[in-house]
Amino acid sequence: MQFVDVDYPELIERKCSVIRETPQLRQLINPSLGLDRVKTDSEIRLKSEQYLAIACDLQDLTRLESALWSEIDLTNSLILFTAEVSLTYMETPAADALITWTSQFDHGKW
Amino acid sequence: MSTEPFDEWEEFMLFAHHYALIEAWNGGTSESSLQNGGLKDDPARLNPDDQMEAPDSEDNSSSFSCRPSKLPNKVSCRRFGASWELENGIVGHLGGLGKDCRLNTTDLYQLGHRPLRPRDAIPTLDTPCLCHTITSLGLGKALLAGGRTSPDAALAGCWFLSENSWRKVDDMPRPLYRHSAVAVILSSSPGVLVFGGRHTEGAGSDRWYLWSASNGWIEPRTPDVRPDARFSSTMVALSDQQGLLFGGLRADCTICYDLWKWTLSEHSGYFFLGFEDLSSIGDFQKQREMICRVGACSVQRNTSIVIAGGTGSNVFAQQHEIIEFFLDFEGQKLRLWPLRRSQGVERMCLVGHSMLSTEQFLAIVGGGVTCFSFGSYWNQCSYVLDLANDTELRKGEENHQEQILKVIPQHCMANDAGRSTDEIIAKISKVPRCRVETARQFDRKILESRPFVLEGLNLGACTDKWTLDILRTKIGEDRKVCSLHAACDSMAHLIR
Repeated sequence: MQFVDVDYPELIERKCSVIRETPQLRQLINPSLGLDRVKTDSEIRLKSEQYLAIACDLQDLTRLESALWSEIDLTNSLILFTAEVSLTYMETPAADALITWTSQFDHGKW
Repeated sequence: MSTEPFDEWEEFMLFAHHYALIEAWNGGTSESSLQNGGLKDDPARLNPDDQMEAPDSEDNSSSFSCRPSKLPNKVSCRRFGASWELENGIVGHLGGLGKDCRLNTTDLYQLGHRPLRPRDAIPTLDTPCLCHTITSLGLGKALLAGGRTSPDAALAGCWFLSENSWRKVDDMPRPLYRHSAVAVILSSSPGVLVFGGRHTEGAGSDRWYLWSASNGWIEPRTPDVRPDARFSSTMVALSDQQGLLFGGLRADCTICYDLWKWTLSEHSGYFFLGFEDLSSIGDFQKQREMICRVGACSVQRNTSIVIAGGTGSNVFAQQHEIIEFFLDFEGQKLRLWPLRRSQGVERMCLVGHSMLSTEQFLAIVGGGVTCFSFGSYWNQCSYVLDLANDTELRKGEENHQEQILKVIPQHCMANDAGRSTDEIIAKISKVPRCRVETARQFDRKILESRPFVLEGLNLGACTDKWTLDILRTKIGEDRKVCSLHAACDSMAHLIR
């Protein structure tokens, strides 16, 4: 099972910094990628067996989809989507588009 | 890491009440965990009526008609202000948070059918405040105690209103806000009893303080067994030296589900407070969630107590927002009934509001909430609750749709003591000129609250660029630009 964390680049970078700088979190997450703070355009900021940090504006669905596909086999995965303090702050059309996008997966659940 | 000082408890609770959990899935094979008794048997869910229905609401529920009085433009929308009765039928509403800033002004209202007459303005306070208390001591006197500016700046200052002017009196032993205060009588003179409240650091207070004009603030002796520290609780006087205390929030965000009777007594020059724990009286335990609230207002009415608004651990059903309860000490019974709004009466925001009882009416003024990041809601009206079940009264009112609650126009105060408002003569004085070099000097000039002309400032390129020709082109030759501000008091506040 892998927890995929998606947020704005600035915020996800801040989160990754905290993980990098906190020994207990580093040990727990044990990232294989992203341990060094390297300036990167790649959406994947931190990767480990159980955690994936993705820097992506949720309004950019194309980018989100390609970032996810690069790491996960979406068609053969069971996906649980959770949204907390994210959808409510988006403009309605963008939030609708995101929810519609998630409905394409056969084994998806909110 | 520092955290922002926080004091939006009722809003936080309302926000939490509106938390939704939505489950959605693709395909038809998945079964909802919600359907299979996951949340169905949760007692604290969907239908608050089931658990909050008063036992004898069938026979005893009263309904009230409510007259909203739309606020005219010059009356401020206020939240977390305080109100008091100046005299029969005249109430004041002071301070609080306004739409743009914290307020130090007072709005005056008249209730009833007498002709409206202007009054001398209640002077503005030195410091705007909210979450303070004002307690009426009769004969036009009142005590303003505590309050805060920002959540991390509690105030200890107290002001006594007499002959329409504020006189600074003794500071409270500790700065407090969201405390409760009631009028009491000690040694035949009026006093104010204060309990609870919140300190600057955020902790709740469990202290009782007593104020009188002759003694200032003293702490009556209290027994070991007494109410927990808390703020925004409900305290009401049943008589000159006795009353009730219930509800409120502890510093750890738990609601106090208790009911206490306090009794003030005096002996050999010392004051004592006795407490009786009434939490096992009658049906209190079943009703406690309706009675014990955070930020509710209450008044004593005849032999019962009316509680309006505030928040609780669960959402109040609309008809339970305002309730009335009666304590029968002899029979150890508690009777509670909801006050239902009659048809067509609009719902009002009962957070940050203030309620008083004057003449035969209950008035609710102020009120409003901020929903974090989504904006604020303000009550645009004041409300008069007519609880009379007297059909004669009802009939009389049907005949004239007259406003029961009217805003009293306030005369500007004379600047010099002894001069009546008819005698104010405008004086022409020269505006002093000065130079400032630093931000600190500028701030000090601002504190003086007097007009001044700054010389020698670097105003930028406009001093060269703004020729008459340019101004003519940009502004236009016909445009008249003239602004005149007149203020009623020497503080010259232009922001209203």
